[in-house]
Amino acid sequence: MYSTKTPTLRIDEADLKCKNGCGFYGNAEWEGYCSKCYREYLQKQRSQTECNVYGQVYDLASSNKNNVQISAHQKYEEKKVQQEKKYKLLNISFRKPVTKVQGYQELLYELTKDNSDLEKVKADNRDLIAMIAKTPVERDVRKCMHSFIIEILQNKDVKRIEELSEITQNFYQVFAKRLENSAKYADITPEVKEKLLDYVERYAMTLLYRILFCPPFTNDEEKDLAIQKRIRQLNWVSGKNLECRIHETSSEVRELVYTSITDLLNMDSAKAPQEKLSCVIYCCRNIFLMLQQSVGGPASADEFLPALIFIVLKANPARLKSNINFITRFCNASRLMTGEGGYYFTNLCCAVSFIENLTAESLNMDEKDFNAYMSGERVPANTWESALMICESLHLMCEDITLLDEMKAKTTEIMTEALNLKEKMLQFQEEMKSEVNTVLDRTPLLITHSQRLPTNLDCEDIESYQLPPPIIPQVCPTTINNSTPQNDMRTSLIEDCITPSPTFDFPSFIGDDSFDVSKAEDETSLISLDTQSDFDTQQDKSTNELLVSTHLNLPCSTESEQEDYHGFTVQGSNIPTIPCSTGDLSLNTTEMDCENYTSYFHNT
Amino acid sequence: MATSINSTANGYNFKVVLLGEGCVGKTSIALRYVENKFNDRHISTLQASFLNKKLTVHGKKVNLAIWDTAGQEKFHALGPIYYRMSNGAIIVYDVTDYDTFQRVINWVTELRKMLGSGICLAIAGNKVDLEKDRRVYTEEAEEFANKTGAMHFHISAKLNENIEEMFFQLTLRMIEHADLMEQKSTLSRTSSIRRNVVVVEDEAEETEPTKSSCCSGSSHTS
Repeated sequence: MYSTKTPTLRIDEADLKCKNGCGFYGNAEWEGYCSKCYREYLQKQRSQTECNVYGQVYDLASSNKNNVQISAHQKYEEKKVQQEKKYKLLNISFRKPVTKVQGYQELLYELTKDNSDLEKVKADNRDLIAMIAKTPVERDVRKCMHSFIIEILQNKDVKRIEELSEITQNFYQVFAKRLENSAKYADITPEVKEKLLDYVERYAMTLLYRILFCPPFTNDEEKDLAIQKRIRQLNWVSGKNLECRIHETSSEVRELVYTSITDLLNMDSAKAPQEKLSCVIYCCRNIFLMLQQSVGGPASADEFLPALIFIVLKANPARLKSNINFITRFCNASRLMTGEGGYYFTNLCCAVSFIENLTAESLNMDEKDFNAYMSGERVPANTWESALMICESLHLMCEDITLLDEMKAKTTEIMTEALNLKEKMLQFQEEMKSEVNTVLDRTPLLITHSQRLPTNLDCEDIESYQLPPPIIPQVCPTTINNSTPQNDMRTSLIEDCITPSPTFDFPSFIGDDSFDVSKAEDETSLISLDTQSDFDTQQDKSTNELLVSTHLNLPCSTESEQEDYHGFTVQGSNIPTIPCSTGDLSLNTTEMDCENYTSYFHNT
Repeated sequence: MATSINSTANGYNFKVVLLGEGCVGKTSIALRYVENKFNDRHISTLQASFLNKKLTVHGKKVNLAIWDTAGQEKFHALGPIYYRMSNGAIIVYDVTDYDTFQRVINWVTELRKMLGSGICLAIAGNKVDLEKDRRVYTEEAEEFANKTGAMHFHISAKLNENIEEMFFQLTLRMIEHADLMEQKSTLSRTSSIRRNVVVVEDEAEETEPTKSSCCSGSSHTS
């Protein structure tokens, strides 16, 4: 029933029968015998080897012994070399063949004595033990566990590992049922029951670890060596081959890769199956964390499995097959079939199976390339990933190289960015120039426009001074009167400008109140002064020219008049020097003022 | 066998595997069902490949462990490891891609061959929101599902269409199946739990007696 045959094969009934011809069905794992015949065969063989072993003990010169020992020693050495590199060597070596004479009681004593792992299990569950101490529960648990352990010890040499596994699983089930149904456990909460179940499993398995883990009567060890060799052959496989994206330059991701590798390696040092399982869980959780960094979301199985394969390849855990078999055989099946641990463990099994059956096709590469890599003809490019296998310093070097590469890429990026910036700055300069030029092109228009204003202002001022009767009523007419033809032109221009003056044609102002009018006049004069204050130097020049010309053309005017006039012009020409800097804005304000004027005009 | 673990006094534990080609939306379906989110940045789980969903059916608590599988063709051979001991399987295809339906046919045939009627199957045509690009015709898919005793659903993880319904129906079927197995096992208390069982042939009836004789042999000697 423990057939590992692929279902596609069609085999004749006769092929399935026991080799001994007893009529029962045989099995490949039982070397073609049925269970009964195989056991007989096994016992026969075992007694033979035991004879050999005893031969070693008693007859040191025996050649038979030498052969056995040498081969055993070679095997041991080989294993040692693999493991000491990465992991502390566990003291498994070869179990002393337990004589039939030695009773299980002595064995039990030997297993219990000085077992630090057992002490640790006890210490971890101190609370639980204290809780049930000196109660019927404790007695019952003890009784169940003891009978189970004795059963295993009694059967360990007689039964195949699968049967031992079945005994164990039965025990778990029976014990769980007992917890649920027995009156002794009635007043215990489900959580404590769960813990109790866990504790029993942990304790029993830690105790029996030496017996049940990688037992010599299975071929676990050969399988371990085979997979180890296989993984070593595949050390060139990179994340890219497996189509898993590992962001190798991110230090965080790299750290997670290391942690998950360590977690997986830890599996070998853990004793109880659930402890081994939790190592797998930690490893897988770290892989998911790592993938989250690279994928940017919860990773799916499509991404997870390749990453796990990568980690297994790079970790090459010691005694991988033995560990997996131990978990499948002796971990509580209900735990293994459901829950997170079960899922991750299944994935680990998948990863191992994939590695075992890996071909060129599954790595998406050429048969030729694949073979070249496998035979070691070709050595992969020194990437960080492949260096994970080689050695620490080379590994660090590769890390540095990738970092330097990254830095180089970043530097070139910075350079191009800088050049871009430079270009942009030049462009900006050009744009600025052209912008300024267009503005400058635009300004002459405004200058002519604003050229009116000084005259306007002057005239207005003249007007304003003219209107309030006492001050300088005569200035304007004298200027006009005494002007040369050229000056006449100017004044006519001035008069043209005067006409749109807002103060001039206001019947309402004049009609209502003279005081109001004068007030309004004052306001306008202020406004006009403001506008004048914003003049460009060019404009000043023109005003000055104008003023000078008028000044020159007014020799016959009265001193007071001239003084007054001059004084005003001084005021007029002095003010503009103050806010000269904001030319554009001031031009706008003049425009606005003009607009205000006109709108004012229109409104009335 | 599995049922003795799956149904406890206060409820059921079921394992459901999601099978199907890569990129058909297996992960999205699981995430939509468990978290009711689609392509969301705020998904609380770190991973989307193993999810648990608790529900109550007919007053009984049911815990669904939803196992996502790697869909890439090169991992197809690992299928048996994934679906071993599972109570239900949802085989997903993309309605806009006929090749994915071809894989569904392969999967269902394989599952029926390996596990017989011991597993409840649901075939899901995902991405029905892209109806205009449909390449797999409803009649064909439904006919195939009927032929193999599987349920068929048209779903959309994006629009959350029919997903709840699909899981619920599958759960009902699994409960039914588990109860049936429970009855059987109490009637004939055969050899304890049979782990690591790989049925050699699809003709379960033929191989059954051989196995029982084998088992009785072993139990006899032990």
